[in-house]
Amino acid sequence: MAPLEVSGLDVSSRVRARDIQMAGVADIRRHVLMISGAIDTVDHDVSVCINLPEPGRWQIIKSETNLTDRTWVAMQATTDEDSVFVDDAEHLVMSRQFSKSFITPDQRRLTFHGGEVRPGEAVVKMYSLETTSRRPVYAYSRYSPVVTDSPDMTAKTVEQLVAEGLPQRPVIEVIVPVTVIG
Amino acid sequence: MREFVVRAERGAVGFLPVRALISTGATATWPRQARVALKLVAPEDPACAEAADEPDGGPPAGSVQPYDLYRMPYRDWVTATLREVARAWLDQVGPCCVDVVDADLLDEGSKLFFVTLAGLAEEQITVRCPVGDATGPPGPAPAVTSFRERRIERLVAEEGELRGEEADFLYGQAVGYLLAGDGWTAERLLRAVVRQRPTPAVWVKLRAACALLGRPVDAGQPAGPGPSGIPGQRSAPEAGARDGEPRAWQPPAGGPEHATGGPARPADPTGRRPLRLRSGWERLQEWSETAGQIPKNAVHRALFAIAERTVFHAYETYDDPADPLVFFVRVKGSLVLKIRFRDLDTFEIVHVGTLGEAPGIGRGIDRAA
Repeated sequence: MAPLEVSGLDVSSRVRARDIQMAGVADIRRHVLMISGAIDTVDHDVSVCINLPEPGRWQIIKSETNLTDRTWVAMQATTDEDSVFVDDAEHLVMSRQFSKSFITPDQRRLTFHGGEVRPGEAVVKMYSLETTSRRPVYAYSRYSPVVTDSPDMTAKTVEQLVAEGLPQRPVIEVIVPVTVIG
Repeated sequence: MREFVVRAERGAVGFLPVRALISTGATATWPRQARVALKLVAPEDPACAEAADEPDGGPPAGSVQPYDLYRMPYRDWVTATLREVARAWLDQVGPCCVDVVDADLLDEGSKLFFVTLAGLAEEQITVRCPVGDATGPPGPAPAVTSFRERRIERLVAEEGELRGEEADFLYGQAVGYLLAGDGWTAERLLRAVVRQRPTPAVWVKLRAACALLGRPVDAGQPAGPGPSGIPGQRSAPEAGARDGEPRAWQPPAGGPEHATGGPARPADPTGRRPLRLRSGWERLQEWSETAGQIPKNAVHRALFAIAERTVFHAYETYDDPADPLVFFVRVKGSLVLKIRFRDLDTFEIVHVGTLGEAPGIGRGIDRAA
């Protein structure tokens, strides 16, 4: 596809909607949203905008394939001001690849750790999001260990990142189309 | 061109020569904004207007209000307030020349007033500082002092111990000057009170006055009564100035910033420390018991903005015309916070809840509309 001639409208460097397939399906009766996709960037965080059929509390089941050449040992998601992660006993926060999760007291940051997602592998996460908006936005980032770090150093770094959060990096924006069922 | 002469005197209550000067006009006919500003220099003038009594449509755009004292750097607020007074007086008397006799005795506030006056319009006003008695037809405008001010002067000069009611009186007057924005007079009075009554309440007010002026509380009396510390004693005239020879008003180097004699401002452009939440936390906790996490996050964010003094830029706010120290913050949607400034460094949460529940917000919105 030829690049756009109008520079102001050329968002190809920051908006990924075609080459990285990320799509969702929402069961409006059960308020369950399933999203699948892939990530191929190592230098950027990803900002996801979901088109929900209605605001409220949604259980999200998300699968992402690691298309990078790095292993992810921690994943962090951060919500916008209109959304929070639900943190109570009735709502599961879990992942097949990560054994631990941490939600901050303001419930706007969720970090999965205690596991790994190798290149080519897919990660599955489940959590609940409460939002007052129909178009909630959340950003997520991954941490890959430095090759020269020992396992102890990596564990210490991950522990610190869980407590303090991952540093912010340039962001790729993704708009996730959602198909409504039910 | 009319000529006026005022004489500066050292005293605890500031703006004495300014009151003498403006008494040559008729303050009752001044524009409303000038009469609101008049409260800083002449709080006992019956023409003083309350900002809360704003009749129709609120204050004119760009005019400074008493409650702006809590929002903008003190020096800017004082300068803007004095400019309102100076402009109203000058518009009334027309082109004139003002001689300030014994200018070396001017208190800091008065000095800033005359700097502001001199800077209004060069073709209309000349402010001079003759050394010794001024020559010319008019004699000095008579000093305007009330019984209350004379009592303050007497008590501040009192070397013996003040009686309880005398200390109470002086403390009450100091708080009044502090609330009116006259940090210099408040500081002088509070230093006199704290010598005999070093209670936490007095220290808090003294610290507030010093914070207003941007100087440490332990800096001592910034401008002593004279070289030997005796009230009324004059310092030596400046080198090169001859007795009786008027010299044109020269704002000190650095402009009004240095004219007040205070130290340089801190690096923070506002010169203020973050505000602290002093009380009302229990109201927030009570509301939080039933509120969701999203509005709680929004309220916490707004409270941080208040503490950082950025709330007026970052949020939609409304004033409460009934109380200049109270304002409303529209946090998110219909969620509002009602906040009261307790003093220059602290605030309290008066109410947190929906727009319809906030007491008194109707007045603020009507006023803003």
